[in-house]
Amino acid sequence: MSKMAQSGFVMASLGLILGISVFNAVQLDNLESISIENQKRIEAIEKNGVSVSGMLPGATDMGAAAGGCDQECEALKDPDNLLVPRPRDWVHAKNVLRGETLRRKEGSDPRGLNPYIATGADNSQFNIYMSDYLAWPHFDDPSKYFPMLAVKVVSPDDGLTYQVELREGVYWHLPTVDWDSGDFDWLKGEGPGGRHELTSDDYKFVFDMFANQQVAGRISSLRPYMDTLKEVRVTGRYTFEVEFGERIYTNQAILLGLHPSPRWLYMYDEDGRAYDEATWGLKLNEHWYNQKGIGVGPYRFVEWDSGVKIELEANELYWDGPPPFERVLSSIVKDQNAWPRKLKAGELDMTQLQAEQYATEIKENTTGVYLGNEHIKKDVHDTLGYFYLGWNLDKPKFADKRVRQALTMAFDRPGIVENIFHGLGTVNSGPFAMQTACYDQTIKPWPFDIEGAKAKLAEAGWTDTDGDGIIDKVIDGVKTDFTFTMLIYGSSNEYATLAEVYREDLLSIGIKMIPSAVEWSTMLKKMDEREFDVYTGAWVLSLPTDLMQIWHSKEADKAKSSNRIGFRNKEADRIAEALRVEFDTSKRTELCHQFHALLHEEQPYTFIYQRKRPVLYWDHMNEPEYELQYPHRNVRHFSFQAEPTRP
Amino acid sequence: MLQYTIKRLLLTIPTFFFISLLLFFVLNIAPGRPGAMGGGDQGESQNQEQKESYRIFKEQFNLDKPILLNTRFALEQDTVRALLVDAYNLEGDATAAARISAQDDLEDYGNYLVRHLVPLLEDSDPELRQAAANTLTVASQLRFVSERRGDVKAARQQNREISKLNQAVKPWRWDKDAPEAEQQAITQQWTDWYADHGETYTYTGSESAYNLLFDTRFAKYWSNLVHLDFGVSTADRRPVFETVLSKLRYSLSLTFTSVLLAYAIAVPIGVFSAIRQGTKVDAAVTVVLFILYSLPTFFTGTVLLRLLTEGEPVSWFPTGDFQTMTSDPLTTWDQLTDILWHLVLPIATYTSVSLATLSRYARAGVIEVIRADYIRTARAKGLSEPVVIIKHAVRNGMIPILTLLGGLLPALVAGSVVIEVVFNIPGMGQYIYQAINLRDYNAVMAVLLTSSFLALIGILISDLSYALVDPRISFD
Repeated sequence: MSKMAQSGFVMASLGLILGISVFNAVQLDNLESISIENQKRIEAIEKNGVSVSGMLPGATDMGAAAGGCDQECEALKDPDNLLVPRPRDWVHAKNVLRGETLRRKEGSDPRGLNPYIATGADNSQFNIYMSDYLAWPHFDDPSKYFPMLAVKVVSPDDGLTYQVELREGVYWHLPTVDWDSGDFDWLKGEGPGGRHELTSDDYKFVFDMFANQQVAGRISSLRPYMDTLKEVRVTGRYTFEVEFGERIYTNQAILLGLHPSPRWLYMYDEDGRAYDEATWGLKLNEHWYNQKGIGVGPYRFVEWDSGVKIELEANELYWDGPPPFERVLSSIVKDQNAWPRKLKAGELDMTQLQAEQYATEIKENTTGVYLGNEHIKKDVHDTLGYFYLGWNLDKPKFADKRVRQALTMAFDRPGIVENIFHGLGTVNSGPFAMQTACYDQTIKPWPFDIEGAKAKLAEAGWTDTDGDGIIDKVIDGVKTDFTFTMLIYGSSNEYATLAEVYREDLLSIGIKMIPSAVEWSTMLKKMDEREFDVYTGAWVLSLPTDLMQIWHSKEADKAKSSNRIGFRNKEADRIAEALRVEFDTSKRTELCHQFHALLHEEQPYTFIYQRKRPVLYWDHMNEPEYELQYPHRNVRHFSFQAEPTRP
Repeated sequence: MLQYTIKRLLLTIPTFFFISLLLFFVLNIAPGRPGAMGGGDQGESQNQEQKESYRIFKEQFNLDKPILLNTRFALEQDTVRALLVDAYNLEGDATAAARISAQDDLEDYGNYLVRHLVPLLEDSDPELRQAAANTLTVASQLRFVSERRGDVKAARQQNREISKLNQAVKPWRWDKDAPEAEQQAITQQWTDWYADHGETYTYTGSESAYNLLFDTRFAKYWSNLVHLDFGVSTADRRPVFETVLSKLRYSLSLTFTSVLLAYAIAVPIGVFSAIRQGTKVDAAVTVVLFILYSLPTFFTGTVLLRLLTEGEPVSWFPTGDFQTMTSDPLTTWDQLTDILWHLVLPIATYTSVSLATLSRYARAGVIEVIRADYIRTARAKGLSEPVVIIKHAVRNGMIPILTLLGGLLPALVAGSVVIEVVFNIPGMGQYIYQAINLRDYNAVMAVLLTSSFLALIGILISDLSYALVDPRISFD
């Protein structure tokens, strides 16, 4: 054969092989699509089968709607029951479009999905979808609760013992494991489809975790709130009793806000072997199921693809009826700049915005159309928590309250909120959430008043005696200039600007302030060791607010306590102690107001503001629903009112 | 050649050891500590209950051990006394910093304290006695043995016994105003207990020598490492190596494609400017490449996203992510095209930076050989210019650029922090960034050690490839 013919043959063969490969690939692709189609059909059929045959008596829409009086309705007839009827429908029962996917975002991966192990706020977001509390705070009055997993809570001795009756016929989700392999048959329960029923043991297990200090993570930060817990007794399949050693007001809120936790899952290793009594607490910290979620709530855990998404699906057997969404898809988007971009592209149904984004997209936007699409709506809601400057009261310079008042007055809080935080907040004057009764609206923040500040400082003995432009005073026989350092959380430009504004204002009244931006871990260390003059801080409030942790003088003497500033005040101690054990709402309000007035006068903190958070969302979502406990759109209220308008 | 390769491979081991030593040391002395990071601007406080959990946590991750050398067997009674005085503020003048540091030390010294604390129970100062008993209940706690490797059953049995011992001594403390009789009874309990268990807490000379080197964080880390166990993440408690492997596919798809593309574009450009060396075209190409090189990736990435995904002017590409977020199953082909569609912008960004360097290498390589005698000979033979350039000049000029490939190996794996964050690709870059923020020592070590190891291998490969492609170089 000639060389030419030979290479021709080779080329032809190669071409043929290529052709066959392409043909095969196309065929395979077709086959694959067909098998996927079939798989979908089978799943749809299976799903229908389950929801028909597995329908539970309790799972009818809105519980009592069936006509007769069910367990919840009977329980609420009991005059001793601390729970009150539900305020209104959980979801907007009428125009709810069912079967859609809710697309939301998270800024980072949670560190686990077990609500008692994983630290960080993000996992609680998921557990609100996946699980339930014993009872939920009333939307209009958070001191009252309505039934969720508990239908009856009675306290025969007014706050020492709580007797809880659980809702019957509530089932745990099927754990998300490979059931087909047969390796997990040991996880099956007695209920429909192998589900376990929720029983009092699922709460007993939570208290066992509280008692075992090997269990670390989130539960260890809850332990101090449970330190008066004495005994937990299981009194029946659906009933248990919790006894506290002291009557403390917040006990009830903590108890009712607990998620259940399944012992039948967490006490076993992946092969179904029970953990040892000696080390189960340690094992739990690294439990094989901690990266997955389980609950009794409206959505069941499907998949967590680290760094990509967390997917939940509707729990068709949810005790309160099937939830509005077929799926809840949370994509993990670490770059905050991408959030509005993804909303606009229709990859999200809603997103919150950073202050900078709020400024450009909403505040400076005169068209009324956001992100260039008229179907995108805005919403700005309050948050629970405040920002403040904490003065080190152990330093002689800040020991005089007139000095602290002056330092507050020299701090242009209204200007800073308006210009640096883009108006996303309200200047506050006390340690309570502004939207609650505890906050005394008549106490106005100290005004921004440079001259007034100067006068107060002079009154306290701080004047410029040597003409160097810096005021001074003789402290302990030594002439001291008024200079101090302000610790700033270094990863935030906003704080740096804020400190610069403050520095200039202070300089105009003869105080030299040196801003010192440090990284969070360094800042924490310095605060723990009390090596600071003043620091910029933020505090997240829980309701009802406990004052002991930050303000009681016994905390001031402990190392690493939350009373970092060394606040010691007998009257404050008295009020904090009284509030801790006061159960009467109006008396509580009175005590709060007294405390608010006292802090306003003492100014151990310079309160800066309570933050607001801007949100953009597509208009197919329902109107926001506010409640005091969660002063933002509660995730459990979300539903679509209409076909999605997103692209 | 074989001998050389073996020699180099053997040298890799101590080099790797010293790299890990250096990394480990730097990481451990950096401020901040794992497991306690509140993050953001929210404080996280610790109290008695949390402290106990944190102590157990530290024990699990060996964070209570000294980093490189353990001299705790040489502790003296006076030091222990001074620590107690500071930690419990017995003289009332300890600063917060001194108290915290003394409390941490007492926690970390653990078992080493016991033999000094027991005598202190007989001290004349009642407050010191109370402090000593209090500290003993913690210091005497024995550590559980690992159930992760070896004979699990025996380890479980042993842990049960350890737990029994630990539980027994926990209540042996008293409150400030406890009656004298109770105090004495507890002291007696401790003394009896110490008579039985004392030898667990005293150290012979050889034990001390062993502890000096091996009861340290670094030694514990290496003892796991030789079993290829990179440990568990302090943040999410998953084995870090598993996570690293799962992140690999994202980073590799991005970096591997980018590198291929970069070579495919940069080499022809380099050759082109080498032939046109000194002309205006050469200058223009150089300027453009250097502009691309100077643009930071976060900028290029954001501009591309802004222009090509938001519909102003066009939305041709998705706004980031590795693939479409959907729960519907896709066929392999659809998946592949979907991923490629998502990767167009990140790859373009990644490639734009490396073009300049690579094409410079290619240009320099070709320029170097283009004046060589054999090129002149080739031209003299009457070969056409393209044949001269491609067959003779380029082939020889590419030697340096080929060997660069070896050095790219670690970069392939490490991914790119900036690009992965901007385009929301959950690869190694994002992972290490997050791990550093959380002070997740094990995760940071795993990523850094993997890329160090690959760097070592990469350098070896590039050295060997020199010898392979260039007959003038020989290691024999």
